[in-house]
Amino acid sequence: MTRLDDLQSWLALEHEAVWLYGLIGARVDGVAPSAQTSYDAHRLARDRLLALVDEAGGEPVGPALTYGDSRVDSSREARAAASSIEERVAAACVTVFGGADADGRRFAMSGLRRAALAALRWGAPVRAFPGLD
Amino acid sequence: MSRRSLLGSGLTVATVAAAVVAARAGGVLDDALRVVGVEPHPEPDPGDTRSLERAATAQAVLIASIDATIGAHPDLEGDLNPLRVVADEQLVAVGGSLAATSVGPAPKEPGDAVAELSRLAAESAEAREDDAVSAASPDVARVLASMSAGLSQLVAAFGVVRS
Repeated sequence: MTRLDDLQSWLALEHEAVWLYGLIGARVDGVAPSAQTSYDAHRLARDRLLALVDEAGGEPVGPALTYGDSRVDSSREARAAASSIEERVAAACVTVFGGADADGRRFAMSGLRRAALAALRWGAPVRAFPGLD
Repeated sequence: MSRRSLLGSGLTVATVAAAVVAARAGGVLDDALRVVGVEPHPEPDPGDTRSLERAATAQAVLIASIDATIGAHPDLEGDLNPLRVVADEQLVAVGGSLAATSVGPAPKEPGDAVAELSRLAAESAEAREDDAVSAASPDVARVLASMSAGLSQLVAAFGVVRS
């Protein structure tokens, strides 16, 4: 079993990531292809998490109405917002990892590694312990 | 003292000793957890302690190999030093030390030398994931999983150095 609350926290961030990359793709030409790649990856993760929460008997959290006033009008702002969401996803995956069974841990690891590498591509520094430090 | 050959590379001999092995008796797990801000549990699972020792051994070899690469290819120092700092942070967190680790000479071609560092980091990332999945303590599992992701970031960063 994987803890439902942990999965829900991760799912909430995937909703935010899907929203953010949609926004970046629409507003910032220079990074549109990267935003599309990230958008696709987070949609897949979101859909998988929706199914997992449902299978675990939970009511999957939905997207928020708004995610604040983060500005993503330039490549620089887009990179900052993107690396921030990826690092928060990484932290959520680390939390899920601890409370999960072997299958859940493999799934969390794939999300964690993907988020850590995406954070790097979007400009975050290399970290010793992504999601923990 | 353990001595093993790393196949298929110029970095042939890794001698890893007392610091890691002796740490079995105490402290490694607790130190690793404190570094990442987690309160240690009173009785570490022996399997978890061994997992952290394996992480420390692989990490010491990686760092010694970075040092050998910088020694052989000083032009790479500027690119490799920041990555070495990160790798060292990981080593300290799992209670490791470089004291008794030695590796063979780095490959003569800079590209080959950095490719070897990538290989070592990728191999360790995979091993840390496996140990994380089977860890008894959720906190140890998190530390090793996160370290595995950090090692994957190092692999990506080595790739940029090579290109």
